[in-house]
Amino acid sequence: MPQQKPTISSSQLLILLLLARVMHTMIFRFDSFSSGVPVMAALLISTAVEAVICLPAVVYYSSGGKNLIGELGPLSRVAGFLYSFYFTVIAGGTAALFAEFLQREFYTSVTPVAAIILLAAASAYCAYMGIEGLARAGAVVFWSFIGLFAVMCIVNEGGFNWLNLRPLTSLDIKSIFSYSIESLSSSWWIPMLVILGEHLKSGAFKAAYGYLFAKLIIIETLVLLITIVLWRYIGVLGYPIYALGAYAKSDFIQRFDAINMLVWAINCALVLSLYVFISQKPAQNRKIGVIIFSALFASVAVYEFKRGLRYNEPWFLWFKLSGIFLLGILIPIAAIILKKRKERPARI
Amino acid sequence: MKKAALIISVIILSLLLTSCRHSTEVQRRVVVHALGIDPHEKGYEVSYQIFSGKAPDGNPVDADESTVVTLLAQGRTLYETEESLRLQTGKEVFLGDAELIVISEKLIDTDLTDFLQYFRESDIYLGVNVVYCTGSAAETIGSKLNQGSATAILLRGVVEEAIRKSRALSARIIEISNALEHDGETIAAPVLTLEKNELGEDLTLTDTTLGVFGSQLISPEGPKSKIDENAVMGLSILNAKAKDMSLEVKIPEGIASVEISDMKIKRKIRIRDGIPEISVSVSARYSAESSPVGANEEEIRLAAQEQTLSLCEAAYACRLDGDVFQLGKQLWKYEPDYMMSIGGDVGDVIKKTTVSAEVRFRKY
Repeated sequence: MPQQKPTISSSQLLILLLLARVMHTMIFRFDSFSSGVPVMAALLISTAVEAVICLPAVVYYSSGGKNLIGELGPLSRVAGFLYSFYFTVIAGGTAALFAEFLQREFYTSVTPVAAIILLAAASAYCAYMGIEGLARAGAVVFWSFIGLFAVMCIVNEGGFNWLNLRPLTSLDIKSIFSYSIESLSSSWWIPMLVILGEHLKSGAFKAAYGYLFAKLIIIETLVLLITIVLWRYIGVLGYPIYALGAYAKSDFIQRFDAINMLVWAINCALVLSLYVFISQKPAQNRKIGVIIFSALFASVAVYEFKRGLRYNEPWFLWFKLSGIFLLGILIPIAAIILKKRKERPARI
Repeated sequence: MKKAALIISVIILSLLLTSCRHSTEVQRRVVVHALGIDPHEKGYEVSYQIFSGKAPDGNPVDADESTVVTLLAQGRTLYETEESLRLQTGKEVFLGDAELIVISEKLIDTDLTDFLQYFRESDIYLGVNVVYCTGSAAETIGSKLNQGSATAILLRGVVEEAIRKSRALSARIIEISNALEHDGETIAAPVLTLEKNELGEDLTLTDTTLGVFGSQLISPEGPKSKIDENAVMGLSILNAKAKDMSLEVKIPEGIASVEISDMKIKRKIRIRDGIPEISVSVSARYSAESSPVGANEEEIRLAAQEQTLSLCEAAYACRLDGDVFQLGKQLWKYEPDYMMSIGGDVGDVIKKTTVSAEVRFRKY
């Protein structure tokens, strides 16, 4: 009897994509002030662009497509390895930034390289468990994050200074443009959708646009809170979600650092597992695949961490953008064209 | 075999992930509740108010003995004083529970942003208020008051009550940093005053009281004037931060105590003849807590309104010490074109800015 391909629902995929985006925001360090209305406007612009550029992948899966990479025929193996390479680098960058965060905030008690190795081991195991397990775990982590985020917003001690919400001026055009590009470079959820779409029962449209809507709400809320509560101090604190926790205080929980960290660590392991799961796809044997790609991303992470290379630096921006363009737009368009050709009735 | 490997990994991971290797037991920590910073020939002398599980004689504390101890440490920098405290006590210093930071007025000329750097890098909560004190910070932190030892909670309570009653504006670490280091605004840091009344030697009562009776204006360039509580109340109004106030109102019949609550303050800004004009309208409820015989309600209400206007007038004079009204932010929000035309610097404009206020109270 042929084994059925494991499947997940559109809301499960939406949650997995959101967790990956939240992870990216969690470890994104604001070294200088980049918040306020220009960032909020840039998020709107980039979301609108994402809504357009995700169309090829969404259209493919919505029109009954089941294996986007497989449509490429002889080139599918090469394409598969391109995705593996891309997500191995993304996973390495994520782990390196997480290690950097640990080093900055817990420098007396954490060895970053040990953390990377532990994360790689956990990711290998979780990725081996498969997409269904990841999706179920993702729901738990996601609702934990939402609960924590809501509590931190409610018990935040800072006063709201609405004067920080300045209207846009001609001086902001340049920064809106650069923030939009930066935000767009974080939209590797589209290549993720290309790979994970084959596990979808149905509802690619719902997953993609539900994701965009939820992401917009979560990130805009975060930027709004940073702007009216923390303002330019975010440049000092660095990590926005962590900073929000640092200013939250209640009678029953004095400090949110520990509870915040717990959710971060679990989310990091889960998101890295997702990247490993995507990367190992071309491998014939999943067990060997997850071990190889976990080891690979851990090596990338240690190298980047030791060399001080970070994927939120300008040189990496173009790598991320090119990946999104090639793997998230061009390949899905090619797949749609090839699929249409196959479906065309034969003529004499 | 699989089970054994799993059990071994769980044990190893649980040890590694809890960071047991570097953990510090609570009895090996000095938990600081308040810091007082004084000048010293070496540099600084910091008074650390800590909770002590033992009485000064070394025995465990009884319920009637104070558990608050103030330790002094000196150093060229605040980092050195912390290190000195660590060596003195043989324990790790934990500043994450600090409730208040008190700086002696003698250090008024020291750049406040120098201290901010230290506060940021230590575990101090960014919502902690930073206040100045008249005289010595060590004396303020370690004083015995009528209401008991000046514990960190009591000190914080005094400052928070002053803020609640609009007699002080909050000066949290985050607010100071944003105002002085980024927005170029002038802050009004509360000044704690320890008042010792002269009593006869035969009296055993310690007649010492602590309160906030004024504030110190500090601009990014350095310290400016010291203002009284009337000017601070006016600043609270002009900055739309006042919620409640207690006023002693003069009327022909005598003095009436008036409580103002539910203050709703609206600020508008516009440019007239190239000069910003801020208009503030205040509406609130009032209640006369005590009034002299023969005084009528309307008379008290009008006098309270008049007095509130005079508070705003007192605050208006503070503009000579820098941007005390968040003028820069108001202009960026409502008059961005004007702000761009002056290059984003309100340094000279603030002195010419006019303020008009309208106050309307209704009976509680």
